[in-house]
Amino acid sequence: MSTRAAVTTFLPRSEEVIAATREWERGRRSREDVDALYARWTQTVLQFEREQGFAWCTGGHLAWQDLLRPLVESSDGIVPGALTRWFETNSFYRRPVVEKLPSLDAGKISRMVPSADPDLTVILPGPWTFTGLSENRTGQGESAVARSLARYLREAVDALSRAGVKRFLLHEPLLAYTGEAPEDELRELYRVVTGGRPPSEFLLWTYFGNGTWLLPEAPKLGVSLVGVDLSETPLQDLTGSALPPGSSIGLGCIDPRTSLTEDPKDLDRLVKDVEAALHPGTLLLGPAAPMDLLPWDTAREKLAVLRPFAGGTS
Amino acid sequence: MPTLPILPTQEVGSLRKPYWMVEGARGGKLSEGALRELESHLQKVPFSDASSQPFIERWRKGSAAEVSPDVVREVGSLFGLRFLETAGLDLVYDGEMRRVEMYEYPIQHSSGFRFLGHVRSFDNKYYRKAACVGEVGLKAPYHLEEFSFVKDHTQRVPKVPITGAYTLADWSWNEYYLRQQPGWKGPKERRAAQREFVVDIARKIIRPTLKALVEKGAKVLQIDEPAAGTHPEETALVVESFNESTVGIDAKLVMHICFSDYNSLFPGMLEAKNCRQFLLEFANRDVEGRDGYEDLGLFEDVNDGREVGVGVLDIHRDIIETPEIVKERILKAVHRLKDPARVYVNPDCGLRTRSLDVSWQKLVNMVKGTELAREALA
Repeated sequence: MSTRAAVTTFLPRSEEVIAATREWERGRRSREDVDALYARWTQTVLQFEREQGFAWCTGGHLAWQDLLRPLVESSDGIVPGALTRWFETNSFYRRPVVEKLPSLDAGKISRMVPSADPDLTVILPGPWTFTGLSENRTGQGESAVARSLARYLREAVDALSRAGVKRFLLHEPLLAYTGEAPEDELRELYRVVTGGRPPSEFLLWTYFGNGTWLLPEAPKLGVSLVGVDLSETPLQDLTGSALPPGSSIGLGCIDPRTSLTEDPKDLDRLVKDVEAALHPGTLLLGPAAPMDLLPWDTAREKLAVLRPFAGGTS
Repeated sequence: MPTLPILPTQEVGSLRKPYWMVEGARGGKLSEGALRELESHLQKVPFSDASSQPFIERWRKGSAAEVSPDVVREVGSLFGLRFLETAGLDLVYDGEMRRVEMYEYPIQHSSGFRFLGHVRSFDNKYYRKAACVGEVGLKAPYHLEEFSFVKDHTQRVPKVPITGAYTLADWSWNEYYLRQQPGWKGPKERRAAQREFVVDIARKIIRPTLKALVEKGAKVLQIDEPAAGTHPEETALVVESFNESTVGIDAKLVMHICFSDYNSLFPGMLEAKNCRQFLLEFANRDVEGRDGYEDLGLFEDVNDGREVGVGVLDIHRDIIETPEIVKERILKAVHRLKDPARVYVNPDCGLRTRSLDVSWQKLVNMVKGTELAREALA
């Protein structure tokens, strides 16, 4: 079995970036200044991810205002709506309001990711969460709009692939939070996003609930693995999953809802328990939920605990 | 306490601090922009009095270094109070001008916490978050000086906002109480640790502070629980927190909740028996094509006279609500609650997210709209 580790969620902005964005909002700093700082800190994050030996780099997605906003801002047809609580956290997102079937400004979304890194992984909302967290004001039925948003998501994937992105992490907190979705509808949405001639690798990351029910679904959804939030999931639900030996599994084990740094011995025990119960081919260790719930220094310290698991075999 | 009119208007919490106050507190001379803002505020709001006038004159003459930060905060507090009074509100405070913000300020007055850094609330808004690293305690009751100042400087009803125990706990990381839990820190252990943390804050920090405020003369206390709706399964803990905080407190108690799913909170929240008013956000969700006030239906059958503070101003957008929109929203609330005596009028939440100019226009229109609603009901 091999273990790998990686950043699978957004990372927090540094105190320097936070101060700059605040000053920009108050008209005391230029947009160019703030953008230059984003670029510099993205490089710092990329370097950190490389130094840890992580399986890929994300750059942290520091400039993104929330998981859904880049898709909203790159569209004609979706506008940012009411400020809405981001699941059970003290963070908020702008609820996307779908006014008409959207079209994509491919150039715009491509400019939102840091280029020039050959191993860049981009985080996008999965189609179920994208649809579920959006408000439909098109006058069309929910299923039609869901399919349309999935097609729009696929357009974004294609545009980013053309820009050099090789891997996509599809975030599906809603699937874990509600704990259910009609199988056929879910597979159909994923077929639209990941099917055909897949331009890239897809991974599905769940959090804010128990996502173990999705683990056996990975091949049918066209994703190479599913990650689960182990702070919201009883361990026996994971170890009791019906998975064929040799499967790849994502372990969300670095919890941004506590500032306590995880004990490496606990992680080691966790890996051994999962290995003994499920005989996986690969275990990918990463955050249990979005790391931007923490300050940068704390997030970095917690993620560094994963270093021994990056690139190991047993 | 002065008699209140029907449909009383009230503030909720913080206003944005003026530049002249921020720069003044740093001790240097005021910039030209801050001086211009100061003059503009002096024209709009009569906050120059015998005590503040000498300091304002020093700023004008460019000798600000002699003005101590304490004095700057006092002048700012007077400005915030007069700002709300001049806009025409019936229940007022000082715009929380002395506070850093609603979380950091009480934590600074408590023991057992350590600040770790800023985290994002949304977009480019952040708050400084602390971890609980030891048993919580109160260094000294807080908000007393600011309350006494407001009480001595207004003829209107002062309403003191104070952040509730549940929110203080939810917005902190719970290291100390979680460490006390044995073994793997799964969902069950985390919930038990959180309950202990919340109840300790309620008993050891909030209750003694409320008691001290009442001893100073506070008659209306607003416990802010913006985190109340964060974890729907914890409504009972929010109630326990409120009830523990308010044991033996002889004052009118208000609870402020915002940006939450009220369907998950009510009717459970009604078990907060000492709470006479739920002050809630509605305008944010009142957008074209959707009635943001339909959740008031949750209070239709509450027959114990408890009031609802109805949010009629969206605090996250610069759009200025017209008096007519405010009036419509109030009348919807009156219709739903079936009794105008149960309706108070307020912004959704504190207006510190807006510029002072925008806040001013919004509040003035809120008061005008309330007058229109009173006329319609007369």
